[in-house]
Amino acid sequence: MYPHLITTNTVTIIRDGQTYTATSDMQGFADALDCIRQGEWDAAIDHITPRATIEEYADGSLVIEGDRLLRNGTEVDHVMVPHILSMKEKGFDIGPLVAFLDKVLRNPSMRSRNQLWRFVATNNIAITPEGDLLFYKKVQDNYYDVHTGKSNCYTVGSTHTMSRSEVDDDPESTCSTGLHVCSFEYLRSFGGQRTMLCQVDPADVVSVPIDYQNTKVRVCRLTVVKEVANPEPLDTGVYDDSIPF
Amino acid sequence: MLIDVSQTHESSGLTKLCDFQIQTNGIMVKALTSRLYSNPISSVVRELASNALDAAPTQPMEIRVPTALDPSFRIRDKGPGLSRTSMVEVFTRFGESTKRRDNSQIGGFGLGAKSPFAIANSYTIISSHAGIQTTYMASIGADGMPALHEVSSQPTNDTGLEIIVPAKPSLKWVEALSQIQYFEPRPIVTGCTYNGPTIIHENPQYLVISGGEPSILVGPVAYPLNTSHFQRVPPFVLKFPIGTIEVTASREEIVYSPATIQRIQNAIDLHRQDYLSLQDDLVAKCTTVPQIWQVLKGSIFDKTYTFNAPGGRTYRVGNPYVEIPGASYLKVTSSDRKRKRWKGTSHSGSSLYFYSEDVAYLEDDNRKMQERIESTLRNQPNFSHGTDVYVVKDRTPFDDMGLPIIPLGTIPTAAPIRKPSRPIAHRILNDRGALVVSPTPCTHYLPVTVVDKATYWRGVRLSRAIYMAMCRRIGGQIALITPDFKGKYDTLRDAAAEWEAAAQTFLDTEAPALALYNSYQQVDGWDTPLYAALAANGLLPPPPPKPANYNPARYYDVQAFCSGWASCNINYKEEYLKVVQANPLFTLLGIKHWASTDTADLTRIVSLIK
Repeated sequence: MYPHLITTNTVTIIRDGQTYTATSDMQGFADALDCIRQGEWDAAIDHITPRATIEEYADGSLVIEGDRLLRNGTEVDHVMVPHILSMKEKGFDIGPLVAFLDKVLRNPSMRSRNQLWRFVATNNIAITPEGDLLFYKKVQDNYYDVHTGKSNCYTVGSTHTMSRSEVDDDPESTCSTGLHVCSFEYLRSFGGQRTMLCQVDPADVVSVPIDYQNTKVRVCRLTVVKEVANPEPLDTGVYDDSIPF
Repeated sequence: MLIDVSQTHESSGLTKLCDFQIQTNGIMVKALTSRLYSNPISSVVRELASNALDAAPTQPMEIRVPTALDPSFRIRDKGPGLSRTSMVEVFTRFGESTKRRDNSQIGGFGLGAKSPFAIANSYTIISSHAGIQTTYMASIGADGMPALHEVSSQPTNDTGLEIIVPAKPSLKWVEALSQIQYFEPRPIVTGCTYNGPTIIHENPQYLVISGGEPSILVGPVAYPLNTSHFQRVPPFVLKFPIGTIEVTASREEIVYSPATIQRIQNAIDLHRQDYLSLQDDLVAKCTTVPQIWQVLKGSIFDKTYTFNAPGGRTYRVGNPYVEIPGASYLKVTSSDRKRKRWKGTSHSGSSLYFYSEDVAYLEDDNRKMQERIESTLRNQPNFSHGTDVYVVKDRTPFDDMGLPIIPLGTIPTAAPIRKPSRPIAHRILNDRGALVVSPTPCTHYLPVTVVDKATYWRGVRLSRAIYMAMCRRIGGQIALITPDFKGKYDTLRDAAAEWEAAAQTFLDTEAPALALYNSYQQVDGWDTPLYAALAANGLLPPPPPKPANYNPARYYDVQAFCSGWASCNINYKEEYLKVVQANPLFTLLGIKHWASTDTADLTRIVSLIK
């Protein structure tokens, strides 16, 4: 038995002089309590800090050194951790997620990468098996963009690009130049009659404006995957061709 | 911090009944912990960091904000640590403080060490003192009363105190660091990306940071200044020694008592002129006008500066504008911008007062180009109402001052080649001169004729490039029928009636069949040999009859066409999966997709399932 303390909203276990502690609003709290009550101390610690779980799931593709989560020696933001655990829980393979991280780390701008982490921290990440992000986009009834109504026609299968240098990378400029996509939460603020599902390489994400709780994203390249009649919130997970709506 | 509680109290003819007392119970504890702070996270950071600084004023403390890998806030100082007796005094007694002798230390209310209870019911304290490292846990018990527990001890060569508070990762922890951003030595922060402020200037009385707001420092702790109590506050950070400015017991805010207001106002008045000369110095160092505007941001002084440009020209710069003398420009107002051709007001040889949020474009001599560009710029999203738009003839002053100017000729145009006509739903021409039926109302109707593979529009032969550009303007996915009309008509008008009828027939008769075909396509696997093999063996329902005139090659993007029409009611995919997935052999065979066309596989599967 390790020294431990359970209160209404906290749990603390001390193993070999190391303190493992969490609050009740963390994901593994209830499981940790169950394990403690069954005397499975190490399993309880694995629920408090997901290090061992992640290392096992990642099978070498991600490494944890101290406080740092590393992919091929490059630090990955901690905001990915809940998504990694969620993917594991849902039974997805780590492959698409690793592909996603590789693409994020290939994004040429540190500024953009940091903004992308901010998006990841507040939104679910729906990815394709190749590691591309899935976003929504509203278009007019004739599939033209909402803003000008004549610049881009977002038909299924079409790919749209803009020179990266023309896309505003300032998150403070909340309405500016760039190809705009969004998560489900922003859809109602996005004018337009039709909703398209778009695939975006994380390396092509330029900025995440700070308004609307980081739900809007400016990118320099996107491909329209399909039209969605009744959009639903996209859960964190891997979506292949069979998107359920 | 010295806290003066002495009061004048003289009386006669009174009999003292008793002193007031404070009950020690869970409710009082709650009032002094979780109910004391309006921003608990910020308070935990400020209180624990202040204690750490008091404990080790010369050694940087280590702060680890909560992360998903370790959901706890950790702060460690390199001070002497606490003995068991001191632990009991500091952590278990509300109102107990060792810091009231003078103003050299920040604390004093005797509440800070208990602040973690504001966010969690327990926290861990590891004290390394006099060769022994002892781990304690403080927790709120079942009756709401806190208690301190000793966990273990072991010898150590280290000294210091580490506090571990369980906490969910949140950006609020990073934001909370702003209150301790001026701590010296700078805390070593891990678990997040944290950059302290960029200090432009510092002297014993105040400091100036880039893009700063007026605020004050009480000792090392920063507080935003409520400027409504004061007059003419420059954007600087005023420094006050500990104890000279009253703060609330939660130490979250300054107490704006008349005496405190007077003290702060006096300091502002004293240093205001100083700040002006500092501002002059900073402006003199600037090499571009936007840099000057950055320095003048929030400035209360209505002062203009002379900017000497590299070419020998001089400009007058204010907050935040610049005067461009002798300029020739067109000022375009908001209503002018909506016009096809910008009207604006022309000015020549007068001074242009160009503000930081204004936009300037360089005029193009080619009038046609100019008009196309103007129509493009009508859609510019960054024109707010406060923005003035200028079209100028000379870019020299802008280059001089490092201001952005956009040469009009480089802006890509998105102007329509032809104004969209009234939308005619569902019927358009494609580039082969065929009547195209679209599932969506199309905005464009191209009255072109095709004669011997050449396309004519209003009698003008269109080059391939122009024609493709026009076609790109046709929206929607398209399904195609090809009535045999080639060479029959010269103009669309002639053909319209017959084509409309053809389209209507198409919609009436073939659309349901197309929809059926489409639903087959959507049912992954229906149209595969495996499905056929399973169906032939009675393992799956037989496929529905093929639509009349079934010819996939005839249809372009039928799926899109049909999405607005009938859909198939039988969920073939579900049926299919029921059979296939129910049998584990299917996966064991290593065939992961039902679209497999390997005949050997199919035979094997069918026989195994049977």
